[in-house]
Amino acid sequence: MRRDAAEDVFLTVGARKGFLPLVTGFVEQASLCLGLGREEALGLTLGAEEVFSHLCSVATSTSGPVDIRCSSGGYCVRTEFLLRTDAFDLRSFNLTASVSVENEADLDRLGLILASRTVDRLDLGRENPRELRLTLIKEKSYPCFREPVSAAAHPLTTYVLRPPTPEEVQFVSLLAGSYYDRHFLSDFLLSPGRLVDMIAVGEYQAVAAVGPAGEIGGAIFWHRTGARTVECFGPYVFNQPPESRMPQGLVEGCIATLARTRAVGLVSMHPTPQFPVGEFEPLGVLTSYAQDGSSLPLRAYFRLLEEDTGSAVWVHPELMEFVETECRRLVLPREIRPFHNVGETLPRHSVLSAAFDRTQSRAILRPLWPGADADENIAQHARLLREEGIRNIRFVLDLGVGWQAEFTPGLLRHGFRPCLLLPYAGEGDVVLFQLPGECP
Amino acid sequence: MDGFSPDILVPEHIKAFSAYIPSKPDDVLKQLYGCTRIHRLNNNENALGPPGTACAAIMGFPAVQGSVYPSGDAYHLRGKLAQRFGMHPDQFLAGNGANEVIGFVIKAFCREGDNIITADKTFAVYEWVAEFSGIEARLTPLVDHGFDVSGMLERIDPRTKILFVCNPNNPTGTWWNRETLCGFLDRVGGSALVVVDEAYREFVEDPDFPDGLALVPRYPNLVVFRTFSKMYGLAGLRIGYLAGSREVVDIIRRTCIVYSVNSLAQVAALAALDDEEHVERTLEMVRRGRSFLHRELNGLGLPVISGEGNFLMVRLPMSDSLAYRKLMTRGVMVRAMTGFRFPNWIRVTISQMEAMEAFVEALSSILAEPAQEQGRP
Repeated sequence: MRRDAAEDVFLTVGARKGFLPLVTGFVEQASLCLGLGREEALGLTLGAEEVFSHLCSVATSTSGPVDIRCSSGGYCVRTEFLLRTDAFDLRSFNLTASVSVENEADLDRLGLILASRTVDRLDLGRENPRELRLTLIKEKSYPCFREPVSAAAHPLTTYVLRPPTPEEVQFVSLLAGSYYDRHFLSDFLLSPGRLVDMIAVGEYQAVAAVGPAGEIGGAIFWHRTGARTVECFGPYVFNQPPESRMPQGLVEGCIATLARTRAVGLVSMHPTPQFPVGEFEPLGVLTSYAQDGSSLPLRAYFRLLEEDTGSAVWVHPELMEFVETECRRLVLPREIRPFHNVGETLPRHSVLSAAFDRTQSRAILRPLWPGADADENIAQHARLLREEGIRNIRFVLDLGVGWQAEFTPGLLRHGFRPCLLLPYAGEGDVVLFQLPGECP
Repeated sequence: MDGFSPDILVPEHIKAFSAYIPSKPDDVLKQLYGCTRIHRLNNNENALGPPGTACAAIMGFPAVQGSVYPSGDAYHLRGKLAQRFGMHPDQFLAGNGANEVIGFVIKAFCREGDNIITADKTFAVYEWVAEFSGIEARLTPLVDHGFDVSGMLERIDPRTKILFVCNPNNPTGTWWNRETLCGFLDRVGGSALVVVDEAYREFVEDPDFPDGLALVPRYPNLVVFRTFSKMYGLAGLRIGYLAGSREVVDIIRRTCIVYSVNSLAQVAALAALDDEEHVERTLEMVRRGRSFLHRELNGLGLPVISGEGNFLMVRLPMSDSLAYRKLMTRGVMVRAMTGFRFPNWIRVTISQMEAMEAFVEALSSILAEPAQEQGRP
């Protein structure tokens, strides 16, 4: 995300309870200064309070300072806690650390899960071997379209592809609401002010097909979902003749913008009827569960933006058939290396990171550290997330990192199913697992 | 050392840049893709190899010379080029392939805040070298697959230092004739350097194709790039050169890496210039291959962009990166063109008939696959 780093504010404190008022005061004042409303600032402050209290309770005697940074993301404010891995018991960063979800009395020890409830997103990731980054994100409040506002477009015989202006982004939102059923519209299109702000900071990008008099014929949006993977939305095409090449043009405009960047793969999980599926490769199907209990299949399409010169992947024998089948189907040149524990000593406790997106009722788990309790840890996380009412529980296994293969048996045993193999979406290819089944 | 984080030392423009990952060696690719041989149609190499004169020079190169530094400024080669083109040796500068001389020119003339101008769909290295040097690359969309004179001129501002024109353009094969190039140089005036990259000029047979070197006396701000990698088949030895006015080349020389061109490359290049028959044999191979590909690709109903140079482009009804992988499993390596901002296009080097036939056969079999296997659900 592009940000004006000059506006970032920093606080460095020791992980001691005595500093808690300082931390909460810092986060609250910074959030307000960086543009959050009072209610949202309070939510972020509560989240930071939970996180810092948690850190204080799990800090070791040698714990170093905690670096806290508040920054504006345009449409949101983020608070990041940067921690040295050797200063904390990493096990405490499991959402389930020291928690028995059956026991209400233990809820005050659910630091990270409590933090996740008051913010829009929480993410724990490894910055480098020595550092963890725990990020809380709270978005500004934007009005949403409650009722579709009608807008009309006309067929265009000539048009250029270019990034839309903020006003045009708003109009695209209206057009999309007029020409597409709700299930084709990603949430961001229902909140145009938020979308304009996200585009302004570079979190999303767009290309529109614009006629000679400024008429909008269509648009496509995209954003990064990882260091090397981009997800696109659309193409949204408004009242254009069926033979129009505008949909292909919009997709090609997106690809041309991504060419010669760090992006290696382009994914579409929400293709519109005009999406040129023949120019992509079908990855598989995920199920998206909505808050109201309904579900929607998400057909994932993909294309590499570079020539695939091959790589090695580490695969547990229980996942071998899936990976081999997918590599064969997608014609991926892979040296598939079997990997599983053959008696070597593992650390006692594994660690999973969780990325929460409460707006999507989604949690994505990733292995952060191997451990002999991987199986049990997965089960505990799945149970806790179900209890939290999270409907979309996914697990990302990076086949480029050998030790992660050890999580495979636990995932399969506890109901996770491999859905997609996403080339080069991590250190190597990743397999995306989903916990299917009943909604709570 | 504990606590060292290289990130704090890295300039923003480098953080944003992604390293170019070259293709793996053929033996590794064969293993990964499960093929027994590879027809290399991805890098526009000359399938005939170096000229006979250069082969003889390579074979005769005394191994013991490997312990001796090369001529630091390709002394004899510059002398021969000067003689051949009626110029002074100091008007030439050799590099470790033409890629290296791109870096020399940008380093010599650009500083932070400056910009260069080129096309959006052309050889990527002008743009890359500029960007990882912290210099803005202003990209002009092609018009009818060719460099756009007015589009480039419109982008000039007081901080524009260099305009890069690839003539003929890689990958479209379009080219400016003498009138267009001179008109462009006239309109640029002396406000900026104009680099004309003539990497594929030896493949052009049209008499209206301009000889950049002949224009240097008239345009002292003109710099011409040429290479021994394409027509002369010395890509593996990495040798190319630039030429311009003595004043301009003297400035560029200040930023060049001396001794970067090895002795074997210098000896081979020197000998290659003498072999006129090699050029004719190569042109004949390209004519024959192009004609064959036109006929076959037309038969498959595929759009083709075919200009000058030993390559052409084909539009596929599928992702070019998927086509690349499928062709690789059949032992044919082409260039996927998404990186050139031509999604769903591939570029094919025009080569000997065996390779051309293998390519057409492989492509035909891919296109004949059921839709599901082509990537359709």
